Parts: sequence; structure tokens; C-alpha cells
Amino acid sequence: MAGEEVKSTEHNVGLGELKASSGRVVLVTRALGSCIAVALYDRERKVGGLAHVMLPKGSSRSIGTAGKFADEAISNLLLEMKKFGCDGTVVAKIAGGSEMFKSKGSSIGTIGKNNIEMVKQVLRKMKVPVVASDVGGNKARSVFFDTETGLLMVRSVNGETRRM
Amino acid sequence: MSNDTNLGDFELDALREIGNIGAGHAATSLSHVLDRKILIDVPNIKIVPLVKLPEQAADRVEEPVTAVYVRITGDITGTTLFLLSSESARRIASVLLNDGENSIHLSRKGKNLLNRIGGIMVSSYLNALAMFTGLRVVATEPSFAFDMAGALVEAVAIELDLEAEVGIVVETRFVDDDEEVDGRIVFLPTPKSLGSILAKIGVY
Repeated sequence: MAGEEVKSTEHNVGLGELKASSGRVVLVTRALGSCIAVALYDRERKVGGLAHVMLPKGSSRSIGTAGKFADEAISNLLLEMKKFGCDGTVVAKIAGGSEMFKSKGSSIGTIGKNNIEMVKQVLRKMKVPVVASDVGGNKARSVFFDTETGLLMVRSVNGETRRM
Repeated sequence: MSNDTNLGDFELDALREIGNIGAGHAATSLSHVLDRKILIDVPNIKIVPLVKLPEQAADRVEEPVTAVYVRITGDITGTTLFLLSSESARRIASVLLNDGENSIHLSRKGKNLLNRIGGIMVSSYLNALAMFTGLRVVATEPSFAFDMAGALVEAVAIELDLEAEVGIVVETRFVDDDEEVDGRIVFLPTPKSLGSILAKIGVY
């Protein structure tokens, strides 16, 4: 992060995990490929949360962590944010869902796209507006979400950054 | 090396042997292409939860690497990845194209070349695996990417996660004498395929 943000504490949100916080905390997810970072922000109470979604939904055999599947991750994240005083009124910013490899005859190319669709669908159903998004394409993204300001910074491999 | 499920010494030896034979053939192919001696390390065998794979596969998940991805079907399923540090990728491209690839971005010609080299190496690896085990190994066309190591491995991990929660990692590193080439071939058979492989080479 840039120099002015050194006062913030960084918390890493690993694959399939989710975290909520408030105050000077930056929730970080590095090197997202086909995964999606779903950042929810309660503007009134300044509570933020980030889920590192891996797949659209689980199968019967799957053991999911709280943030792994799009169909459960967002409500799980809201529950977590409520512990910090969020009342459920949030906006969403999303990033990720890339196609890292183009490949015929394997499902690797479609996971990102399916993740984007499912995340958008779930957010629509829960009436959470998506106020910013940087999804799709074929580039990796690192994501930094400031839970105090709701600012989401997205960085690519060549150092290009986008604030949204 | 971590071995936190139930792989015994025989299974570990068998997988190490596969890594050796596969990467040995791949290294020979690379030696021919580059006209220099390529050495391989002892294969590293790990069983890891797939969600931990990206951080385990890269010291820094944001490190830029070139990757060649091949999905395997046939008698066994899984994925093979050929990873090169961006430094090595540039050196190889510059040696072979003789056009001083020194920007952080590889030229289109450089990318095509590395895709071809990666494809050759992965096929050598898989041919050796097929010959050694007698299993039918069908590979997709190689797919090339240049990006953050963690994101590339993550995409592979998620595809494998559709079938099982843990990944079997057979990773072999290869280097040359001048340490100018630093790459890895990572073979990730699905847990189901491991049984087929072991049955064929007489461990079970």
C-alpha cells in the first residue's frame, strides 16, 4: 500500500475465507485468479468485510469454509459484519473472476465467469447494490480493502493500480 | 516435505520415481533446445489441502512467472504445470531469439517460444510417465500464461478442487550450472489417479 496508509493493519483473507472489521484495517487478498473478492461496506457504521470466493456453489461432497462458495459466502460475511455493528445495509465492490488459462477440454477457463455470474446473482437477490466492479479478463489481481473508508484498491502484476 | 495423509514410504518412493523419470526426460528435452546441461533436483512430494496450494507453490504469491498448463485425461486425470521465473523466461527467450529480451514483458515471439518449450517439456514428462506406468495419458493442448504465481496456481487448484479437497504434488525443480534457468514441473494427479498409478507400477 502507499505510504499514507501505513497506520492501517493488514489482515490477509485466504482462499475460501472471509473476514470483517472496522476502523483502520485493510483486508488483503493477494494474487486472485479465477476467485472473486467480494467486499461489502456499511457506509453508516463504517464496517467492512471481504470474502475470497472460490466457486459458485458446493457439491454434496464438498467441505466448504465460510467464504468458499458464492451462494453461502455473502450471507456468511454479513453475519460476520453484524458482530461489528453492521445492520445489513451494505454496498458491494467486487474484483476477480479471471480466466488465467485458455484451455479447450478443461473447465479451468469457465470457473471465473461462473463465479462472476453467481456472485452478481446472489447480490441481486439480497438487494445489495454493486457500486464498483473489476471482474473478468485474464489478469491476476491483488485486492486491498480499507474497512474504514470502503476504498477498494486493485493491483495487477505490472503494478498498475485501480482505486474504486 | 510434508506427508500429512496416509502415503507410505513405498508410495512416496513411487511418486518420487515418477517425478525423476518425467522431469529427467523433460530436462533432456530442454538441454537439447538450449544446448546446455540441465540438472534436476530430487522431486518434492507433498499432500496439501488445495486451498493451501497457491501459498505452498510460491514463495511470494505475487511473483511474476510464466506458466504452461496442461490438463490430463485418459486412464488418469490431473494437471501438469511448467513454471519458470520471469527472469529465467527472459533469459531463455533472449538466448534463443537472440534479440535481447530485457523488458519485464515478453514479446509475443518470446511468449510463443516459451509456450512451445513448455509444451515440449510437459509432453516429455507425460510420455515418460505413460511409458513407465503403461497408462494411457491424454493431454490437452498446452496453454501459456504470464502472471502472478499464486493466481495461476490458484486457478489450477480450484479446477482440481472440483474433484477432491487435497492435492498430490509431485514437484521437480531444474536448474543449469550457471543458475540461469530456474524452473519447475509440477505434476498434480487427482487422488483417484494415484491409485491407478500405484497399481500399475506394482506398489499395491
